[in-house]
Amino acid sequence: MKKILISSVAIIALILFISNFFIKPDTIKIGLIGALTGKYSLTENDILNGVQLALDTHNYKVNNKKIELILKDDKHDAALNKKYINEFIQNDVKIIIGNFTTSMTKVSLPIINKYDDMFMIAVGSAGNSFSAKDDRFFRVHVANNEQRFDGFTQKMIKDNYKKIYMIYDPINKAYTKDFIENFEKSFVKNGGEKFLSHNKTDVNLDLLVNDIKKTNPDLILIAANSVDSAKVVQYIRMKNINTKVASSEWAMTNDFIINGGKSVEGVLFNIEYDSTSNKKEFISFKEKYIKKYKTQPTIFSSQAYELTQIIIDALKNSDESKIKEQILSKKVYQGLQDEIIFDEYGDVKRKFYSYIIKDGQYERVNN
Amino acid sequence: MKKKYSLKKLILLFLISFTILVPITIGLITTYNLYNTKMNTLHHNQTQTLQQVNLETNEFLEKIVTVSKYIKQNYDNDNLLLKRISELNDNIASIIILDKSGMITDFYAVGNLNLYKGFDYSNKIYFKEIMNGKEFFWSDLFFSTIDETQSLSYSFKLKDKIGVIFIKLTDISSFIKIFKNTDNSHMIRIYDNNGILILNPDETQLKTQRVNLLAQSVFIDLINKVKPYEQTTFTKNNFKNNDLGMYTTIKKTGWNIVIRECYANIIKDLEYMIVGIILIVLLFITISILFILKISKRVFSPLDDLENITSSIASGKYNSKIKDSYFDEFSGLINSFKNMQHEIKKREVSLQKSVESFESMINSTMEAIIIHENEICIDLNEVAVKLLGYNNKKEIINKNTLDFISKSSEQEFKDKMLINSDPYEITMVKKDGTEFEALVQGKFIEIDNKVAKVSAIIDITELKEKDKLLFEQSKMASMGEMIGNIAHQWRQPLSTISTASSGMKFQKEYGELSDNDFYVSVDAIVKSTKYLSSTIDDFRNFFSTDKEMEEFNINEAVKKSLSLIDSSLKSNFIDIINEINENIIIYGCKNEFIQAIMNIMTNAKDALLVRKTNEDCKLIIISLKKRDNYVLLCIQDNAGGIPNEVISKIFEPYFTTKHKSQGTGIGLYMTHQIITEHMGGDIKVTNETFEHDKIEYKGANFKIKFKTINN
Repeated sequence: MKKILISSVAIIALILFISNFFIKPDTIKIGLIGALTGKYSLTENDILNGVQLALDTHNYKVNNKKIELILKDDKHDAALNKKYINEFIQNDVKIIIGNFTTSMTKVSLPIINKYDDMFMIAVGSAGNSFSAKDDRFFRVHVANNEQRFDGFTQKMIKDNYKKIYMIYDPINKAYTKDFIENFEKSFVKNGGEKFLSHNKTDVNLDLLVNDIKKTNPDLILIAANSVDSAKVVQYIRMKNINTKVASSEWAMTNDFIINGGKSVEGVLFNIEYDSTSNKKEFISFKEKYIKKYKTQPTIFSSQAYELTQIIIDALKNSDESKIKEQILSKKVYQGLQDEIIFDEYGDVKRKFYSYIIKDGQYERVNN
Repeated sequence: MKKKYSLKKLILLFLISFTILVPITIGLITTYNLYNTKMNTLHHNQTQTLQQVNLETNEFLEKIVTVSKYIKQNYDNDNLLLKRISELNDNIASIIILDKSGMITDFYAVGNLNLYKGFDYSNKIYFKEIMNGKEFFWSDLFFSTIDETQSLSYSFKLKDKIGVIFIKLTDISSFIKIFKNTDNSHMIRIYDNNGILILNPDETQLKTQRVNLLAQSVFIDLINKVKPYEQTTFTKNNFKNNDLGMYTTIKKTGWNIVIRECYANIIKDLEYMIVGIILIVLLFITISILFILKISKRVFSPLDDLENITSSIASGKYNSKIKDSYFDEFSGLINSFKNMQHEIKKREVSLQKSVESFESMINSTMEAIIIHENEICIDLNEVAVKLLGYNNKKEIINKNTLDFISKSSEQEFKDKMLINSDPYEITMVKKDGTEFEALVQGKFIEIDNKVAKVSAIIDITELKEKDKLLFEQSKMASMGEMIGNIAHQWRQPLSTISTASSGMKFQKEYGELSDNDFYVSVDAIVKSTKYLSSTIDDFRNFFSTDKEMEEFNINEAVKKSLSLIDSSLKSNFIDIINEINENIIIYGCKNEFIQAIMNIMTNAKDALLVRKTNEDCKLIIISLKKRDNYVLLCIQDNAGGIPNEVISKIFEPYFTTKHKSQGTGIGLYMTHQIITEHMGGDIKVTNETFEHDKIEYKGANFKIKFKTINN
């Protein structure tokens, strides 16, 4: 009897040992979609860094399930983006980080909204058209509504910038249109004039320079990616236009300063990110980030880190198909700098800070 | 109790275990060898390939350095130099010349999107590193705004300026594309110092995503952990699919070249072989087990039959039939077993007959037989049932045998229970309480592996009664003898009394009775009457029924005997020669002893009176010899001896050679009984010749042996 028992145990152990090779562990797939190459990738790369750093801290595991991060480079191409979103759905990916640009989110969201178990959350995609809608999309970035610009426009007025020349990225028009409209509304509301001109980053730069010189603005406002923004600033400075430049948060990456050289000195930003924050969570994050990537974190890497922590927290308490419901039931999350409070539609409100580039660094400006 | 095993199970277990273990072991060893061979081959191939790629990459980088040297030498003299170099060299995307402030002073770019002379590139790392004093600098992967793609650069001092060559890895990429794994994936990856993938032929020419992989397994488990060219496994995409590979570092740039192959694919190649081996092993095991079971069934079936038959025989069923076997060996065994079965059957019949005979014999004996174990009766014969006064066996079986023993004999019975006893007499009790004398003999036997005792019992009540009667008869005969003896004894004194009184009467009638004569006569009469009186005392003692056991002097007892028959002997002219001169004490009944001696001497007297020898002399010689622990009393006559044909019968009761008017045949039987049974001695008789006064005589010699109790 004893021999039979020992033999049975040995056989079962052998079967379990062998079956161990064939049983795959439970995996939670998280998709990340964005322009990982090309000029848009400078921002998306910061986002990817933030996501990876957050996953590193959890060793790519939650509730004993492994997390698989699946990257898709849509090259900021709508067709490619659509293809990858469908691939995510086919591959049973329930959580998607992205898109960064509003244009691409507008492509992705109609597909994702068809599935009640899908959830997309983004850094960026600040387009106001996603606000106040009960859909499957959340973001940790503040939407481009009018109120969001009030603080900055009030400062503009206060600093006597009343005539603004607007330059925007025509490819991400879904974002830039919102940005221009709401910024202009706020600016006008707070005492400014309607923008002198709306010009694109892809026009002949000599024509652009001539137009600026002709309109003689108090401020040139750029809503474009960091590459295009740096190129425009370099060019107008090279053409001896010394008008003050302000930029949307989109361009506020380290590459903007690298590509802009001394030309970008003095460029203004107004963003919901405090690079000088003394919060211990932020300091810890900053140290880890610099150690790994050998560069300063940006608003995008910081928000990507926060976003990933929120996903992990939700996964700890719910199934991957119920992330939206879980976040809405909690609503308040501790961010790296401030609390992140989601409204019922998955939008957030955050505090804004102003920055100026000085000596090749972003320096916070007291409002 | 020692554990018992089933031979069948043990053999089956051993055979099946052996059948399973051997092919599995061979399969495992084969699989292990296949795996090792595969791994060794893979290690060799990866090492060779990695060395080749490393060599090729270094040559590629050296070409870039050579281009930079050419630029240094010829830039001042040739305005179209940058254009010609870029257009002729597929591996150069663009070349820019920066002044000391970082301003672009000259450039040529194959695909220019954002480059203008006068742009400030002072924040670019390739500018800063040279400005910080380096002669040249190999950058890691970065996003180039020139053609809006990822790029690598080689910057170098160009007199008072800085030259920057933007590199396309066209050649090296083409080269490493030729190295493919069995799953068609490419073997080679190249990573920069920041852990960013520079080259991945599986994707695009330059891996443009700039994903930092420092936290990935390829760095944690491979590049940062093991030495170059050391093979190890690492996880691809964090955990999905393991890769097996090695790396080396390019000295010029610090970049890492990794060669890898999907571990699952390596194993997959082996899997087909392993699956084949497993299938063969399983097939072999299955066939072997089926074969073993089949053979076992055939082999063990006759054994099972034999076992069943044996059980049947053990339970008394001798007619069970055994099937024949396929195997000669078993056929022989089965035939032998059949013969054995036949023999057992015969013996059983024989045994049954023996038992029946034994039972018949036991029941036909005159002896009562009781078989008992530890005093408890387990069997008995019909004689015993009747003897003990019961109706049937059942009433007695399981009873304690002590129930049949009188209290007075209980201890003796218990003592004898412990040994194989000689016959002994005890008093037993019947069912109705009647006691009876029994002669018992007990012997141990083994029944069903148990030791029991068989006690044979003879009712000796009648024998005892007969003995008593004989004894009485003997006594009466002795009394007759005694009366004769008394007559002899009394004849002389009565004659003296008669003579004296007649003399006195005559003398008185004639007046011649003197006082002196009167007194002489009266004294003679008184003396004779005293003698008569003492004679009467002697006989009274003899006839006394007192059987008290006592110590007595054998010499005195013999003299007493002689005094009782002295007259009878003398009147027949028989000389008594009493040679006893020692006083030896023995233990017994003195009167019975005297009677016994008298019987022998009376028998001798009778023999002497009828003897047919010519000798005048009639002798009875009594002697006593002392030995270490016994005495030997010999009473010998010269009557010519006892005829040989009757000498062995003379102690039997009612045996006599005399006429019925003279002998009863009881005397010597009683003598034997007294000496052997009552006094524990021994008596034998032999015919002997002896010398007396130089004359040889022949006669019977009665030798009586007693144990002595003192010196």
